[in-house]
Amino acid sequence: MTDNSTLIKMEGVKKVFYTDEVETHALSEIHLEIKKGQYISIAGPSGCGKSTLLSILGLLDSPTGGEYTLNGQPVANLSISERTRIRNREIGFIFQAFNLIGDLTVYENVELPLTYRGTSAAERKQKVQHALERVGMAHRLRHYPSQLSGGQQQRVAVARALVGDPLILMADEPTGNLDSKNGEAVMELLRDLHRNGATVCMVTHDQRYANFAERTIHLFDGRIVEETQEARVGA
Amino acid sequence: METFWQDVRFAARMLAKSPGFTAVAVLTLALGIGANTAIFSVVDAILLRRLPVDAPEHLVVIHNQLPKVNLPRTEISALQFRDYADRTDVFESAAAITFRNYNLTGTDQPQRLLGMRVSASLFPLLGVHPVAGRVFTAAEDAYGAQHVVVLSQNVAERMYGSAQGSIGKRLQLDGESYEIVGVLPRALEVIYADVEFWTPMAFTPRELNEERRWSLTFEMLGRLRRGVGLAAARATMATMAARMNGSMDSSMGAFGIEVRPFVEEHVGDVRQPLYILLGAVSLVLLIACANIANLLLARGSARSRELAIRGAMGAARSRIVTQLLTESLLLAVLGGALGLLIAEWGCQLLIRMAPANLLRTAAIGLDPAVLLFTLAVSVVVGVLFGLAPALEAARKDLAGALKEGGRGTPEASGRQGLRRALVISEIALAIVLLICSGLLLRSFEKLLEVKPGFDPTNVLTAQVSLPRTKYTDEAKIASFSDALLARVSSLPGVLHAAMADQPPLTPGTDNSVFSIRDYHPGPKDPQPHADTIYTTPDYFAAMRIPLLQGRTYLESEMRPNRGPIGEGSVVVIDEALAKIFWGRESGLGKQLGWGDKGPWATIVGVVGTVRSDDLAEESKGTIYFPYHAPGMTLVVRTGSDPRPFVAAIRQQVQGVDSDQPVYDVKTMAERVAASVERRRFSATLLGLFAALAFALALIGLHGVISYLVAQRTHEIGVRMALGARPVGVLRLVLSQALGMAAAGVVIGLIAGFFAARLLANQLYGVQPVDPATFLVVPTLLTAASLAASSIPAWRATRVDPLVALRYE
Repeated sequence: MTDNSTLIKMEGVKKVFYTDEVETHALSEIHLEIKKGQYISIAGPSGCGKSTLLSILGLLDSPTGGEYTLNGQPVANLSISERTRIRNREIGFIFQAFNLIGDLTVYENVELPLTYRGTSAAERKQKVQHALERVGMAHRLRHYPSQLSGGQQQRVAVARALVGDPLILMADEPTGNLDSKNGEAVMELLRDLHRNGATVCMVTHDQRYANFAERTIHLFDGRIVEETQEARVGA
Repeated sequence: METFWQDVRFAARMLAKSPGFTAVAVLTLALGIGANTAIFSVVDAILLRRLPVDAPEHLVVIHNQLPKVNLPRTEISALQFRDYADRTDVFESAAAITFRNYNLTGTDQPQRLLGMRVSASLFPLLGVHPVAGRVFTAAEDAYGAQHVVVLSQNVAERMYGSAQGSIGKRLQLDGESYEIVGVLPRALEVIYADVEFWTPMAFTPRELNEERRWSLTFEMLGRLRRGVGLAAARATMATMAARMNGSMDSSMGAFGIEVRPFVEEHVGDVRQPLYILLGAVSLVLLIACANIANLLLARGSARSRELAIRGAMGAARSRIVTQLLTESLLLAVLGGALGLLIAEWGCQLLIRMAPANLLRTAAIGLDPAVLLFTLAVSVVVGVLFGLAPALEAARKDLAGALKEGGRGTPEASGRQGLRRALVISEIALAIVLLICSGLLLRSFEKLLEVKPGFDPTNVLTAQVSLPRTKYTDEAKIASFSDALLARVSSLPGVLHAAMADQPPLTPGTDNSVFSIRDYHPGPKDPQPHADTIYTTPDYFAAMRIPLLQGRTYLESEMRPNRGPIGEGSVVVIDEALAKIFWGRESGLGKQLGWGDKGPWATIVGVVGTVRSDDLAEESKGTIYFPYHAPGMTLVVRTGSDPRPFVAAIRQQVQGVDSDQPVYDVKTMAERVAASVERRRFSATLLGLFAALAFALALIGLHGVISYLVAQRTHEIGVRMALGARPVGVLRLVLSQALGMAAAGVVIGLIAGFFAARLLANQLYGVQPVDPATFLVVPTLLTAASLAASSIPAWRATRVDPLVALRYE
C-alpha cells in the first residue's frame, strides 16, 4: 500500500496549554513520520494527549513548538486561513460524535468540504454521489442526520471525509459512539479505504481496533512511549 | 453568487427551524425599524425634502427686529416692503404676502375662506406654475384692479368639479365680485397649508400712507440675486437698517432687519423637536439591536459545534462570518419589511395624533426616499447586531468545540463580557430615554397646572369677521355687534356674551407700543409695549377674568367711530402691566396714549393676568379697550356644556346678517387643549419610545440572566450538593442582575444628564436636572430589573443537584 514517500513528519513537537498560572504539557517531544498509504493508530489511556496530537496532525490546532511537515510543506506556523485551506484540501476528518450538521441533509453534509473549496455544482454532485456510494449511503441523500442510525451517520461522516480526495483521513475514536456491530462495520470500511490506497491515522483507546492498523503509536503523558511496527492487519 | 444564495437558503432554513426566535427577533426589529421609518418619513417630509419651489436655497424671508419692544422677529409694513425691495440690489425679485380671510357669499351658506393677498411677483418668484389658467399680471397687482382670484386645486375641484372648470367663474368675496383666473397645484399646500385662494396684494393708499410705516402686517419673500449670498444680503440689509435708524424717529426704538432662509422659516421651529424624536427612536432601535445581538450570541453558543464542524471542513472564518451575517441580514430585511407595515400604520397614527399645522400631512408617507432609508437601516442594523456575534462565533476554538463531553465547556469570559456589555448598554439607553420622556411629561404636567387667568369651562368662542366692504365704518360694526350680543344674551342658558378681537389662545397677537403720560423712559429702558385687546364690557364676566382693582368699563364707554383712545376714553390693564410700570403703587387713574402728546385714556381697572398666547408664556402686559374691531370673536359663557349652543348662535348671526359666516367655532377648553397639543404630542411620542425601550431592556436583561443561569446549572448543582441554600442561590443570581442594572443605571444617568440639557428649551417649569425624575427613573428601572431577573433566579433555586450533576 505505501509508496515509501513521507506524508507527515513531526520533530520535537510539543503542545502546552496555559490557563491562568498553570501550564499543562499535553504533548512533549513528539517525533513521528507517516508515509503515504500507511494505516496508523494512536493509542493510549484517557488524557494521554491522543486527541491533541490528532488535532495538530489535522491542523485543527497548532503546536507550541517543534517542526511539522505535511506533504513536504512546513505547516507548524501557518496562518489560520492557510491552515483552513490545507485542511479543506488535504485532510478528511471522522469524529467520534460523527459531527454531522443536523440542519443539513446527508447530501449537503457530504457536499460541505467541496462547497468551501469552490467546486462547481456539477462536479460536487458527481463526487458526493460517488462518495456516498462508496459507503453504501447513496439511497439516503435527502435524509437528515437525525433520521439515521449511529452507524449510518458515521458512514455519512466517512463519505464526507472522502469526498474531497484528501491526502490523509484522520479518525478520532470513530467507533466510540457505536455499538460493536456498527463499530466493526466502520472499521471494515476504513480498512477497505486503506486497501484502496488511503492514508489513515486513527485515534483509539480500544486495542481491538488499534490492531487494524499497520503501526500503532502508544502515548502516555503526552509522550510516545512505544511504537508497534507491522501490526497484524485484520482481526 | 452561488455561495450567496446557498447562504440565503440555509439562513432561511435556520430561521424557519426556530420560529420562536425568528418571531421575537423580527417583531423586535420591526418595531424598531417601523418606528424609525415613521419618524423618518416625517423628518423627510418636513426637514429633508426639497420644498416644491425653484432653488429654495436662494429664497429668503425678511423680518423686522424690534428688540426694544421685545419683538425679535416681526412682520414689515407696506412702505418698508417697497424700501427693502427697491432700495437694495440684493433681490432678483421680491413679494409681499399677508393672510386674509374673506367671506364667501352667493353660495348656499356663507363661508369663511382662508386666503392670502400676494404680490403678483410671488408665483414667478417661487417658480410655481398654475395647473389651470394663469397667475396674476403686474397690472392686476394695483389698487382697484385686483378683483381676480387664483384658487387652490382642492377648492377648485370641490366647488367646480375640476381645476379647468373653475376658470372664468366669479366668486363673491366680502361682497365683491372676483374672477377666477387660475388654479395652483396641490403641491403648494406643503408651504401654504389650508390656504384656499390668493388675491393680488394691490396695496391700498391707506397701507402706503407714511403714518402706517410701522403697521407691521406683511411678510416679505425675496429671491437673492445670482452671486449674492446670505451673508452679503444680511450685510446689505443691516446697513439699510442702520441708515434708517439714523434718519427716523421710530417710537419702537432701534430696529434691525433679519434675512432668514426660506427653508428655515418653514421648518425652523419644528426642527429640534423632530430631531429629538428621531434621536429617541434611534435609541430604541439600538436597544432592539442589542437585544437581538444577545439572542444571536446565545444562538451562536448553541451552534458552536455546527460552526466548528464547518471550520474543520475548511470553511474560512470570513466564510463563517459571512454566513452568520447573511442570517442577520435576512432577519433585518424581514424586520424591515414588517417595519414598513408598522411605519405605514405609524404614519397614519402620527398624522392623527399630531397637532394642527405641525405636520405637512399631505406629504408624509412611504415614498422612495423613505423606502431607501428603511432598506439602509435594515442593512446597517443587520450588520450592527450580527457582526459581533458572528465574529465571536467564528473565533471559537475548533478542537475544543468538536470534542464531545455532554456538558460543554463554560462560555468564554470574553463572550460573557460582550453579553453583559450589551445589556448594560440597553439599560443605560433606556435610562436616557426614560429621563427625557420623564422630563417632558413633568413639563406637560406643570403646564396643565398653569392657571390661564380665566375660566375656560362652559365658554364657546366663534369668529365673526365683518367685511370692510360692507361694514365701512365703526358705527356699522358696533351696530352689528350690539344686535348680535342682544340676541345671544337672550338665549336661555347663556350667562354672558361679549366680543373681543383677540381672546386668549386664538391665532395672532396684536402687540402695540404706547406712551404713559408723564413717563419718559431712559435711553436704555424698553419702550412701553403691551398686547392690546378690544372688547365689549361683558368680556371680563364672560371669561371670568377677576377684577383686582377699580372697575371694568361700561357700555356707555364704548367708542364707535371715535377710535380706541380719545377724549374721556378709559382702559383696563392687567396686573402684569400694572406691576411693570407702577409696582406696588396703584395704576388706577394713570393715563396711556399712542404717542407722547396724547390723546390719553385713563386706567379705570386692573384685572388678573391672562396667558394669551401660550400657557407656557407669562403675559408681558395687556391693555383692554372698550372698542369694536371688524374681526371679532364672539365669547359666550353658558350655564352648561356650550357645544349644544353652536347651532343657535349661528342662527343668531344669520339673523343679524344672513351673509355673515361664523367660523373657527371652538369651546375655550378646546383652545386650551389645542395650545398644549404640541407638547402633548412630543411627550406622548417620547413616552411611547421610552416605554418600548424600557420593555426591551428588561426583556434583554431577563434573557441574559436566564441564559447565565442555564450556563451555570452545573455550578449551581454543585453548590447545592455542597449545601448552598436556595436563598443563597437567589442572592447569587440576583446580585449578578443587580450588578448589570447598577452599571447601566450609572452610565445612563451620566448620559441622561447631558441629554436633558439638549431638551432644556423644550421644558416648562422643570429643570433639566429634575431631582424627582433623576430619582424615580433609576429606582423604577432597578426595581423592574430585579423583577425581570427574579424568574430565572427562582428557577435557579429549583435546580436539582442530582439532575445537574448527572452529566458529570
